[in-house]
Amino acid sequence: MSSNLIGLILCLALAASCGGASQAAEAGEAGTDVIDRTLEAPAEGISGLAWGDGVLLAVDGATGMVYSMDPVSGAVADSFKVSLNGRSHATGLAYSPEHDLILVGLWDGGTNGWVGVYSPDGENLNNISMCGG
Amino acid sequence: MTGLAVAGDNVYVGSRTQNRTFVYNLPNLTGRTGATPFGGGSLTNDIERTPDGRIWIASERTDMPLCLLSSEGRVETVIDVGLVPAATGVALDDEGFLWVSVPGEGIIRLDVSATVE
Repeated sequence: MSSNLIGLILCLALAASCGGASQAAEAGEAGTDVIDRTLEAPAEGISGLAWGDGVLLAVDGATGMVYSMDPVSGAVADSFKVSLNGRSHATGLAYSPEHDLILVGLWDGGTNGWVGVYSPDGENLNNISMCGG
Repeated sequence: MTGLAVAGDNVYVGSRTQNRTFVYNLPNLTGRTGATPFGGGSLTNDIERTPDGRIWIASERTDMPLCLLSSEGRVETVIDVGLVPAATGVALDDEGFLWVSVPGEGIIRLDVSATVE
């Protein structure tokens, strides 16, 4: 076997090996979790996420801003501010498709918590005190 | 009170000090109907409920910032801290992808179908 032929075989083997590794990385190794998308956060202190009717909702704990984001681009399509009313921060977020409500958790860092109930356009409909912190 | 999730007419409310989730009825969060202990997943930042009744926990624990609990509160899955070093928010979308806010890194969409049934 000539040295040229041996070199060709080695190159082909190397190319096949590299291609296979690349495909495995893209698809995720078997039995591993994969990050398949990363969006820029709309604020530094995101403290709750929710999925709502095709959009990703996020709340910033310190400011109480709730953001409605495009889940592909990360662009903020809408936002509104939750009234913290002196409570230390917002934490936790949920959306009810059945009732078309956004729920925002408010916590004083101790044993007092509230749930703020909002319409999707940011109207505050209720603030419910929850026992326990 | 840290963490909220909704499924149907139920709201799941996470409590750090009581180390469990409580279940209330929408729309006015009346009538507590149940509670599940967090097991190893306390120090919650946010929670999410799966369609089959399990609970994802984004927590301040550095050894398990993102984990999945059974409906009885048993830790079923801990996401590798090399992949998700911290988690302050968690949500499931309609396709089953897990969205996680990771401080300093943004908001990630995680495919956990390989490890979570």
